[in-house]
Amino acid sequence: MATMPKRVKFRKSQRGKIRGVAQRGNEVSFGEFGLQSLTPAWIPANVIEACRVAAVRGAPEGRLFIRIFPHKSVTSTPEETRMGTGKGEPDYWCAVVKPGTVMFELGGVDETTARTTFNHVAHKLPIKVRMVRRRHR
Amino acid sequence: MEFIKIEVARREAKGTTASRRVRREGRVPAVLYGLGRPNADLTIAHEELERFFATGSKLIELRLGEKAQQAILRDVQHDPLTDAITHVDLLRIDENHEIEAAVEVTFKGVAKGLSDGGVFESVLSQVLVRSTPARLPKALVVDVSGLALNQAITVKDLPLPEGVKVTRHKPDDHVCHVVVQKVVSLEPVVPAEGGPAEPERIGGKKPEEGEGEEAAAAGKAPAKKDEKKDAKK
Repeated sequence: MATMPKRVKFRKSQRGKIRGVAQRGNEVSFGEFGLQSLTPAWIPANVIEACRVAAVRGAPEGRLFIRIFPHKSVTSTPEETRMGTGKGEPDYWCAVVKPGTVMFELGGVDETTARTTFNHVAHKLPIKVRMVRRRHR
Repeated sequence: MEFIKIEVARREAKGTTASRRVRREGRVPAVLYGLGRPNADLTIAHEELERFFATGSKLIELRLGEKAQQAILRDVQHDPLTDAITHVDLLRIDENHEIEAAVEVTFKGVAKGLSDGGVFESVLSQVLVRSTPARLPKALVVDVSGLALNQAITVKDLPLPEGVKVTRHKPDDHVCHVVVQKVVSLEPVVPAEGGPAEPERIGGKKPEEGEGEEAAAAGKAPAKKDEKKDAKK
């Protein structure tokens, strides 16, 4: 188990639906390059951790910003359990990601390093992503 | 910074549907405000805007038939997925009066502190400055080649043209610095043994001694029932 919230009001959450595109967190705000999701998904905490390790390995000289956090608990029932008996126990924690969310950012690296690093990170993710650059106005 | 001339048109219909129709026609909805005058809803041709952005200037001379109005680009909204420009905010300006605008900071050279194992970090990518429109620079170019480890370029070190003042930032605020690289763990984060497996519940009761065992026993009870049912079958 990787990261999870320190305190929660409710241990279990309803599944919900991922509608629309990200209206916030959709721009590169901290680094110079970002990895943006193109499809909706739940990103488990262990996947976020795997992405962090891949990014640090790819760009040790740069600074990584992780902009998603696993706030949502996902429950599961054990195998060979009969129907009923209520909702299962929390199994893992995940981040709900909408298309357009900038999930990771890198600063202090050139474009080639950022592209190679994000390519490694993208292989850890269960969704389609693209690299985006900070917009200067 | 020079004024770029752009032809605009009035936008009569407002709202989402009308704006979408405007975008389908290859134009971008815009709004013009400031100088105590009422807002004006406009449209700008997409190609004209692309041409304007390519110049790197933020100052526009809007032309609506015979009329002309000077303005500065205040905000640009993009579609997060397609990157298409969806809306533009323009502020009316008077060329004789000072205005406040964000100016991009660009860095030139390679800091010498990098060879000593430091990491270059840009803290401010743009600064807010106050000047007359004619004196407003396109970008502030900062030479970082002399920056050693643990040194920083602050706001007071910025090469400002005459008549340009930095606002809202303190003189000692860092623009960029070279710092010692933080040691980042490559090992995956695993919670320590004996640590909490679950987050603390806000407003929840603390489990008393023996309660956990009771809960475990209650969880096992339905399983026993299932076994009995299977035996009957």
